[in-house]
Amino acid sequence: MSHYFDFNAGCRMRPEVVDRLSELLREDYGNPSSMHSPGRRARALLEEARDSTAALFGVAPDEIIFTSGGTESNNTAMRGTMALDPALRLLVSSSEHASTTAVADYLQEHGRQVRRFTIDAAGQLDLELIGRASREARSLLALSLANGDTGHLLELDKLCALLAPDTSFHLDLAQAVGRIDLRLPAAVTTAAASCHKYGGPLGCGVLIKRGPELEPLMAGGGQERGVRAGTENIAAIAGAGLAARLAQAELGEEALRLKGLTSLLWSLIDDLPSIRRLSPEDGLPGTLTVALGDVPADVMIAGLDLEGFAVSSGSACEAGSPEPPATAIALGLETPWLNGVIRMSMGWENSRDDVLELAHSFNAVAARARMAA
Amino acid sequence: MSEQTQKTAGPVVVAMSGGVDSSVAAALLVEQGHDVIGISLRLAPDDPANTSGCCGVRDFADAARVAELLGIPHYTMDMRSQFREKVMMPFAAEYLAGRTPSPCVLCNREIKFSLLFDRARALGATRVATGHYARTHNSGNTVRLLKGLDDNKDQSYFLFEMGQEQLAHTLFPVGDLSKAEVREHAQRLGLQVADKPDSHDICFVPPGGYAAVVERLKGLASSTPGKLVSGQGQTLGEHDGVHHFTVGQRRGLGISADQPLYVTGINADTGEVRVGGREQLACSGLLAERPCWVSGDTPREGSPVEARIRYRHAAVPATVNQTGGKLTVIFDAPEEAVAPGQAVVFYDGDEVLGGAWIQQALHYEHSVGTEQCA
Repeated sequence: MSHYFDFNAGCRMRPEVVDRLSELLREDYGNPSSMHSPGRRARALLEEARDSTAALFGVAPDEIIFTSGGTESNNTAMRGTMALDPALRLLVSSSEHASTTAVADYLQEHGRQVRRFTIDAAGQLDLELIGRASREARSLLALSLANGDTGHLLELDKLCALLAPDTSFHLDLAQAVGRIDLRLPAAVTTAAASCHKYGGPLGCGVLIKRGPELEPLMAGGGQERGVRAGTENIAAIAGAGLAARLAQAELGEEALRLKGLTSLLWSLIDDLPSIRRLSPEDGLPGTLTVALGDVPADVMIAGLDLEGFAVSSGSACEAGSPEPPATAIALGLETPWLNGVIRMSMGWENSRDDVLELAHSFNAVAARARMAA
Repeated sequence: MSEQTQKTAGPVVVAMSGGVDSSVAAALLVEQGHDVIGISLRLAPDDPANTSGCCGVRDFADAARVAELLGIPHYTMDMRSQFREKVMMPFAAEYLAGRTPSPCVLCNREIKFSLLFDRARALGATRVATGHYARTHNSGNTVRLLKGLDDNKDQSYFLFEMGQEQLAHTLFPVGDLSKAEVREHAQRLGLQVADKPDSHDICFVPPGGYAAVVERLKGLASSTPGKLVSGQGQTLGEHDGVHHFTVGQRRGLGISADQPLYVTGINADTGEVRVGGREQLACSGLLAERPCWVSGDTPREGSPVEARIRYRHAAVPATVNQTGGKLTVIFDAPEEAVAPGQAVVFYDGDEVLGGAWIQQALHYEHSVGTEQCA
């Protein structure tokens, strides 16, 4: 039984991974670059994790580079690609994760050409427009497959067919991996993910690199094909490899289950007098984002937390108060709805009973808040 | 109340700034057996230079650490837009109108004992507690508002607009403690904020920098430049905006004279800032508007009271008359530097009777040639 409904922010490590990690931390201290036996064992663990991770992402093992997380992967892919081609232009959507938009801002401030695309009221980008932009000048396109705020999905195949063949295409998979079957089209040149989003440990990320060379952010001992120097975090990487295997084993089934839970949750709260669903019906399985017109998000989040449920508004700043997610603004949402955005994101831990209990408390907290207003 | 009755009375929301007073307030309520929820309010805009001891990321982290230590839930709620609209913009408008605002009174009325109250009720809490140095006392059907026991820290001046409904649901856990005792409690409880310095007067204004805040909020062009003139109408200098001045101000006038000069009046329409010697600051009384009486009852005509004309002003004997929504306050002895825009708060000993907003000072005829100026 879990009352945790913030899987898009992070989730509990799978118990099997915790067990494996504690073993690894005790026994496997070798450096994979060493010649001796502890070193060789570390190397074997690293490559085994690379294989399982590659299988989950549907790519070749030598396309996998381990990093410290999704943020590093996005930074390395975007900055690294842009650095090697001064003429390259960046195309980006304005409702990306901060580790993408902040890189776009940085590049723009440093004189690079950046073009931003916004989603329409249905949460979709104008793919034709992006395709045309890619043909106007050589570009790096950076988008996420699944939007973390609302679960809107990118129409990937349709987009790839519209892109100029020389386009570099970086795809952020952080929210999608483990929830939808990934078959990366050849047009995707780099991709990023974060292992703690699918039950692996924090501090471990994946960068998929298939196309031309990248300028590394880290210079050093040449680890990870020279793209990411630094002694490999073997325990975390091996733990992430196990998490990848576990996620892959249940992939299709888990997506269906999460889709079912999402529909169930919505059906139990959609009677509230002032509620709108922001997540699309056919979006990321497990993500239900709604907006309340008569109760602020901070009251809902605090009220549910007092009842033992963890939900969020999408993004939180360092000060810890919820802020309206960028995607909700892009969808055209206005106040008071904008201040009432609640995201409930589910994962491997959540059961049908959890959803029933959450819905019950959600209705009760909203009703009490309305009474008080 | 026993621990059991404390619990059944419903949760208490404590406004936690991350400072020592509200941290100890929360801790004392926990010790008394209340079911406590900590809430920090984001009020001032983000400013990396903000070291005021309130509303910085660091202060929210301090509040969260204290809450974690006390084992109570803690939430940060964003009220920046409401704070800007209800407190900061009126603050700027007052300075531009040649008056001296009192934003903490507005914050208490509009934010802490209004919006925070709503949030608390929405979370099922029945009462709100703050770290103010003030006390309440139930007598019959009336809740009386009293000064904090620590004379040096008393904050009752800022609370005069609280009504009966709010007072009945408010707790001031540190009101009967001295600051030294509060710090002792913090030490005893192992709160890491025990030695945190006191916050400055106005949380969104860096020390000595209010004029820049006004200009940022309202735009530089909105202030009226003009002349500094003597009581006799002689021009002594020029200035680039009335918002730089407060009645009673001596420093920063930019004019030299053989005796110290003070601002005695500000006319925002003409931009004229009148200056004069200290004797010209003397006022016989004041006119005030928008009165608020704690008990809800207007005092009898000519009631003797003690009046405080600014925070940290020692209350002085006066009589007060209310006609409609206007008050006339006459001091028993002359008072210096009555600044329109500030609150005048009336006391009977330790008890806050109520207050109002100063509209104009009543000067002695000889000083300015007319009974009413400023």
